[in-house]
Amino acid sequence: MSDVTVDAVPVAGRTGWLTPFNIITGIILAGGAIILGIRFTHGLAATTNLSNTYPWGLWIGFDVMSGVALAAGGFVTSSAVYLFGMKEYKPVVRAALLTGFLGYLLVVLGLLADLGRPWRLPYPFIKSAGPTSPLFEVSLCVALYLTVLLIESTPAVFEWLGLKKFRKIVGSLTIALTIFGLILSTMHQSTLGAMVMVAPTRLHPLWYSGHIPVHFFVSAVAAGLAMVIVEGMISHRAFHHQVEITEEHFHRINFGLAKAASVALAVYFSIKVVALALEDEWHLLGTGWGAYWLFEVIGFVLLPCVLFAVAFREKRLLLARVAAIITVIGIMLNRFNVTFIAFNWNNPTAETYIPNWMEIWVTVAFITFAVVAFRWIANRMPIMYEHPDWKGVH
Amino acid sequence: MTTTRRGFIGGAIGAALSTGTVEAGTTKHFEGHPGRYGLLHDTTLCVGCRSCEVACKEVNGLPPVESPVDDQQVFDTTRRTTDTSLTVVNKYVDATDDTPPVYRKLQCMHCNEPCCATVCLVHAFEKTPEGPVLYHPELCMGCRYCVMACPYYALAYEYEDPLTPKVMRCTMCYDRIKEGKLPGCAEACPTGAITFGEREELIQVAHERFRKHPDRYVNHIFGEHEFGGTSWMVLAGGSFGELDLDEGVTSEPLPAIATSYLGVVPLVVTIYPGLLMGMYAFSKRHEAVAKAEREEAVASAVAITEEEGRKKIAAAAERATKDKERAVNMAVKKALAEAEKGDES
Amino acid sequence: MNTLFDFLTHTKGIGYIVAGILLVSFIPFWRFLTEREHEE
Repeated sequence: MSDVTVDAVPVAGRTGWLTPFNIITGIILAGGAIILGIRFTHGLAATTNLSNTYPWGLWIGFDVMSGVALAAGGFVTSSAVYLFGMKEYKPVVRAALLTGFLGYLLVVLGLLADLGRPWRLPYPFIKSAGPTSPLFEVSLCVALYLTVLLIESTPAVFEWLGLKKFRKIVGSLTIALTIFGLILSTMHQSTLGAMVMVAPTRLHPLWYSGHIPVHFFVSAVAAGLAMVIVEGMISHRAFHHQVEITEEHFHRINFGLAKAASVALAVYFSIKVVALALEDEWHLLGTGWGAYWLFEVIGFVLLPCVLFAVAFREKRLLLARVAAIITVIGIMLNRFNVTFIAFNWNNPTAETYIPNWMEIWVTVAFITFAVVAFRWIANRMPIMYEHPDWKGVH
Repeated sequence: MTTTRRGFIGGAIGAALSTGTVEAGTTKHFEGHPGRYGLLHDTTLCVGCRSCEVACKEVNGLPPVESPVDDQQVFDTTRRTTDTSLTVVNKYVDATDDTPPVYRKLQCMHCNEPCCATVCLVHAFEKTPEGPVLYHPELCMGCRYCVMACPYYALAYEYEDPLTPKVMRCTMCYDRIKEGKLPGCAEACPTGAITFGEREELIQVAHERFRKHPDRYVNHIFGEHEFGGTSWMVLAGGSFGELDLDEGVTSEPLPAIATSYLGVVPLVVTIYPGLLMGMYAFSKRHEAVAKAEREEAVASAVAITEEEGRKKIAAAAERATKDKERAVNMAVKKALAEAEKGDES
Repeated sequence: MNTLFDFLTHTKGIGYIVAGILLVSFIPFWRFLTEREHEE
């Protein structure tokens, strides 16, 4: 470890542990812990606005549904680099995989908060399986994929600890893990969409489709690419002292991602239009819900698609970043729509659901945890750069 | 409370759903357990007395009804079942005409092919041979997918319970049925709006009523076929949409719709490895070919450069030789000329 | 096997197990197929 020449600025600098970053994140995390304490002593009713008509709210809509989609950058970049030979993206693979791992960890944390009896999480695999359930498939895949991501994150750890033998073993597994990861990601990203197929009368027809699994998978690819750009935006600046690639190379990577994201969004937009045709729903576009659907699809799918394309053509990095942010918001909006906005659109008691501040705080706390973890790891381990002993190796 | 908006929407959804439906991956047809029980709810007979609500709470040991049963204000809002009220009665008023209000009892419909059971990842629901769909709280993780899935909004959850929350729903008084008794609501109903019996027989009963009183009923048994059919079937004198029941939906069971995509899972698992290894091998080969072409290009460039170098050297050598020859010739000529000059003097 | 639900529980349960076995079997199959290439 001592022969690593890159010196990260220590977190506990001259001011000790009480940096502004630590104080703010500490407050957020402490608050989240308190709220979860209330949840487990007074029930979900005390900390959420969930109801019998809205059993799924922000914690499912964001932590599970959006979290999985936004963590898709891991499988997209690792497949590009290791399966399709696009070596120029190698510098961002580790950060994308780490973001993926932390993202999926958030999903599990979100579930542990939201489930009525989270300690029974292993039940489907050890006690009583319900193989007809799309959620069974999702939980199996997420559990396996979290393991894959964990193993894919260990090369950085072993390099940091100087454990050359373990590093070699884990490195030899890369292709197999990448393939397994792509299989698992394809399945659970799409099956998350399939989960709502059971409720055709509860989800508004403009969002409901027999092809919603494909919609979810394609949008996840776009979300993953956008997140790599967004995360790179932040980490490239925060860890600039570690980055070894040239600015020009970093820009080329971003433009490549922008180009791919533009294509992914174009495909997604197309299949949404096809869905209108298949279910003969054109007339619904004239309704209030139709206007809202157009707002989501044109504002957050078509618009960033065009912005990404222009950004790539004109080599405008800022535009690509703006498009990435819009895409990320759009994916979250879509998942929220499918979970609690366009879902129950016509419920008999005309109830609506809005998350309360405690649900929002806990969600922010989970995100904060991921950011803190990413920062801690990237400050110590070769994520944003290549370890000198392993330069140029797989 | 008017519900005409829902009726229209129900029709629109129905039109969308009864075309392009999806397959469960089997062409088999399933009749369900023979001789299973059901209930017939005749809304033309229901007067909204809510005796069924009282009886249900008593039989299940739940807290009593909050407002007295003759309190008409309860009907001002559309209610739904909760974790302490496994059944409620709603009043449906058509604001556009003077027809009398219609009352309907809401509870779990005990579907022939329950979607709650289908979406439960720990198999906590079972469709019993007697008809009722039962829930097993000792398995439940509390994911509430069943609560989300139910098209009849029949399931409730104990959100106030921090550590042992359960899904709460009508059980069709399974224990009472096994003892040969009637479900609590059926026994308590004073007007005969609830009839308990074998499902197939109840369908005959319904048709008999249609035959005897054709002006009283709409000729449709809700729940006979919708989403594969339910154990609780409803008769009405007007539109079912007005009663918050989607009559235009497909008869394809929700389990078929919900699981149709899962057939892709084994396909992805078995096709992707070969496909992706093929892509990987292709990209490796592409790399190797590109590398070989690069090396060849470099080698030939080097060779050409070497060749040109050699030619240049050879040409220079030749020129040098020629220059030398010329110089020698000139020196010889000069020497001869000087020698001649020397001879003449 | 009276209901579609029972049928699906049975078939999907077997389906997961079969798919898992086939996936794992792919590894020795691939190694068998390509081991001569590595011997060069």
